[in-house]
Amino acid sequence: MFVTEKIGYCNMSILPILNINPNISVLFQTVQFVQNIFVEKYDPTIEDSYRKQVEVDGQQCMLEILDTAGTEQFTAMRDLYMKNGQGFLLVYSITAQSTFNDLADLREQILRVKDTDDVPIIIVGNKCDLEDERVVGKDQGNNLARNWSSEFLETSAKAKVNVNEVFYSLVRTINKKNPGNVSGPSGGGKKGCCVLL
Amino acid sequence: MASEVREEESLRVKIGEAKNLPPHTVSINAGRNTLCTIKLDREEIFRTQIVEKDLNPFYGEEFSGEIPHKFRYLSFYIYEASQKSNKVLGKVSLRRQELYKYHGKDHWFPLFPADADSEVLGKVHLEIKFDEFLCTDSEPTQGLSIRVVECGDLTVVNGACNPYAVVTLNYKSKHKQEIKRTNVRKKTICPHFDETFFFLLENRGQNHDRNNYNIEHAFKAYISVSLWHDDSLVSREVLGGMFPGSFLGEVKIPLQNLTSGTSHKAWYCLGSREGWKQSNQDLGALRLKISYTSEHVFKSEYYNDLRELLLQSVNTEPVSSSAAAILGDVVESRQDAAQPIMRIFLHHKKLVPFVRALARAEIKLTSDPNTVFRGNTLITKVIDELMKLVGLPCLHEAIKATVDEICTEHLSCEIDPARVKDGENLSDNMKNLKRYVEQVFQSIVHSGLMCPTILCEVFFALKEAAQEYFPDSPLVRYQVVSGFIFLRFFAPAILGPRLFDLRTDTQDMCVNRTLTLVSKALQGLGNLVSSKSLSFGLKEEYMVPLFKSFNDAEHIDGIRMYLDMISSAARANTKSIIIEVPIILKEGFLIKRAQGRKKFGMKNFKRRYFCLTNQHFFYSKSRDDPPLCVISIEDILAVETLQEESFKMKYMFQVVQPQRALYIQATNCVEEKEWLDILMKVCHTNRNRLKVFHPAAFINGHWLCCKVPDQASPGCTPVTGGLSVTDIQVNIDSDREVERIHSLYLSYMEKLEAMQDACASQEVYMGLPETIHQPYIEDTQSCFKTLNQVLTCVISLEQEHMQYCKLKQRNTVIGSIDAPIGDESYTQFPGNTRL
Repeated sequence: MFVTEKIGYCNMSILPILNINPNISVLFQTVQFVQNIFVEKYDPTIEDSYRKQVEVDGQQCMLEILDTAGTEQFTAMRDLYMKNGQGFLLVYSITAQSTFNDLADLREQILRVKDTDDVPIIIVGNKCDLEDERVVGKDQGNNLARNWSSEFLETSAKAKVNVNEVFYSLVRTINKKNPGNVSGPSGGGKKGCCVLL
Repeated sequence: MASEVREEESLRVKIGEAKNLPPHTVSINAGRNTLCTIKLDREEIFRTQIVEKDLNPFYGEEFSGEIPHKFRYLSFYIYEASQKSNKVLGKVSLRRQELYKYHGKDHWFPLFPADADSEVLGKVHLEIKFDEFLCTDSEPTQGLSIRVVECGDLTVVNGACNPYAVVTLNYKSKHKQEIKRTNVRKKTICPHFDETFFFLLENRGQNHDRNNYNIEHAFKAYISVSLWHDDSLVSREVLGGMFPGSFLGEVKIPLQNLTSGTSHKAWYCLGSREGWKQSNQDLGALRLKISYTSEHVFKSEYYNDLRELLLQSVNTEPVSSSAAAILGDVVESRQDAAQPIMRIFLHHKKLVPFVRALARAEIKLTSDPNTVFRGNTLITKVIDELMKLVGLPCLHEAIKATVDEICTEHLSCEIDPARVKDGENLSDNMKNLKRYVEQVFQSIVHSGLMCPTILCEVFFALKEAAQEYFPDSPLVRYQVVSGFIFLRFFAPAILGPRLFDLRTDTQDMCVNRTLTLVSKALQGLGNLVSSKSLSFGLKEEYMVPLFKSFNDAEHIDGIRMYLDMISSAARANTKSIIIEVPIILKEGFLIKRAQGRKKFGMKNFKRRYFCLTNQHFFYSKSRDDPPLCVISIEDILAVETLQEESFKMKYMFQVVQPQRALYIQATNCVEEKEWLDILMKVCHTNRNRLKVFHPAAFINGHWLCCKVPDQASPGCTPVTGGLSVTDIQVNIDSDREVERIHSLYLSYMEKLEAMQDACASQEVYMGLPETIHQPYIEDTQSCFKTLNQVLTCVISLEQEHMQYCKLKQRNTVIGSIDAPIGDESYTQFPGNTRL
């Protein structure tokens, strides 16, 4: 459930978590984003973490991205990721309806754990290069985003479409929600980026 | 029929986290060390580890078990842990019949204070009579006699309970009270008072027709009976009512409902103190996920139709139209469906063909061999459940030794330069980590023979199906098997040893990190078998050297051989290999009585570490000490509960051996049931198993149960007839599983009907296929047919349930000891509140 489905190549999975300044962690797997490499085959993982420093609207942010197991064996740990996360990317594949359908459950679980209706969430339709195999229409994604008052983007890791934008817009959403959380433009330093999970 | 209906209750709770616990009054930022417990009424059945210095503690622990007896409240207590004693910070109390409202979803519950006025349990038996009495002026006077007969299940206060009852007649209109007390009974939660009090009623009734005399005409009054624990006799006698002791509960009975002449004798539930109000103080909240099911299981024949329909799934074409697959589609959490489905198919020996059918259907829909079985679908959940049910011995054999070592050695293995602590050496850490990974790797690849036959057969079916559809990807056969055994079994078990009974304790950050790293490394090794390139190298740089050192022919071949072994048809056909290594079936601390060498002495009961394997039952001082006493399984002649009166101790059971009996106390009812069940199972096939036994102990020269003075006399009561058990580890109650599935279907009735409609509309729909909305039905005709059959079965079975509930309701006497007045659970039956 955490990761609706790890299909295909560099699939963007779900659940990015951001702790902005000084600790920023994004739970989101994407080698593309961090290392700019497209991986043909995506191996199952237990818990991989990456760090990347980005500049969003003139602010330096250190993102910690955590890619977690897609299997459901780790329910308790999954809660911990949700508890610690500040923002979430809910990613589905435009070529698999089931991944889109699972988003509602996932969001509900996040809201339950967070105990609030106001959690920074971006909905991401991945694999938009595979237009021939598209099952989930763009309007479906847009409608969902409207219902949840979230942002919606379609991306492709392979074609490098919107990969960075997804992260930037999540960081912006988080900043908007917690304006006091960000210190000066030089604030988000490199140190302290390690998030204990 | 009633006598043949079993009521089975089970509970699964995830204790997530607490938030906003009240800070210390002195040092606000200090945080608190807390833990959370689960209680059934007053009895603790589970406790989490302590989370230190946190007002928003994350517990992340799970409990699941069978509930052996009735309960009214399921409660959760947050304690502040300290060296002296634990202090309650707050509690959540839920009535049994409202549990269904929270079923299966996370909820935040506000914490409430646990004060004596609301911590009430138990019931009181009263006889109230409204009658005439002759007074001194020899004129008959209306009076009230109240007999306090006895109480049951009172609360224990600080480990003691010396109860007495206070009977108060309240004249509401006059603000006047008349108070009487019983004597104190010592050390009992079920005191027998049998004391009668008389109250002469003032304001004799205006109505002179005595037969119709109703007290309401006289005045509005009520009787209240409260129970108190006498903390100290002196305080009460000297100071009178000023320090009444601890409140145990009270019941208020308005007199206007009582009629003259008849005696009203009934049990009443004790309630909170009058005037007690739930405080508004904010004590924070607790997040819980509760799944409670209570089921009436009928006799086997009631389930034949539904069972047959389910098992038919194996032959249904396409399998997506089968009853089992439909259930998998409609349920919210696939695990709920996968567990009973797997058990039924396993029990009826149809699991392998069922898995094969599901596997083929799923692979057909997968375009890329790399993603086979990577989602969370019915088939992956079914295999998850199977591994958990039959794979534990092989899991323990493969990884327990290493996990234990990691937990006890406590070495740092951090190899991420960004996380390493000052003063630690990365290359030392790498050495430690490599040693652990190598050790667990060797142990796993040599444990192939331990893998249960059924698991081998299932893996073989998966492998075959994958190869059939992807003949060009020779490595896919390793990948599908490794995707289960490593990704869904070994790696999670290392990451969370408590989940798979590998450890009973929780670990600190350092050990957890080591476990995570070992688990990651092992998963990486599992991925090696099907990788052409080192894709892992791209992810985390610091892991690369570790993977490189394992990326050689020796390790890859080792894993491939292992995966071949656990998924080979040849292996599946050979006779199952006799396992010489003892398998631990259950272990833990229990209290046992000295085995009858000395009859007296205070130190008769001792806490010991008990361990049951498939060969022996033994105990020692602690987990790592040598055994003090070893009982061979063949010498266990009977395993039964022991009557509480024997030692005035609860949760006692006995293990009868040729010369003597070992009396053991479990910590709570759930533990007791688990030990009894597993012990009964292992000794079930013993040839010299007893037919009769003594339900109580031999004390003071005679058996307490039958009073026979000869210790060697044969038992006086037949032993409990166990279910017929063929396999020690796998004992499946097929009827109960079908009942489970019945309730699942029932709770998704609307979805099933919607699916039927979808079948119909899809049938007549002529538009383009891609615009069809979910759910898309593969074959509408067969699906519609199956749905019809499912609905027929479920509706007819549910009629039986309703009938049974009516019958039960009719037979329940409100006010009897089993259904005291004021206990709402008897007006609502589990049948109405099932999931």
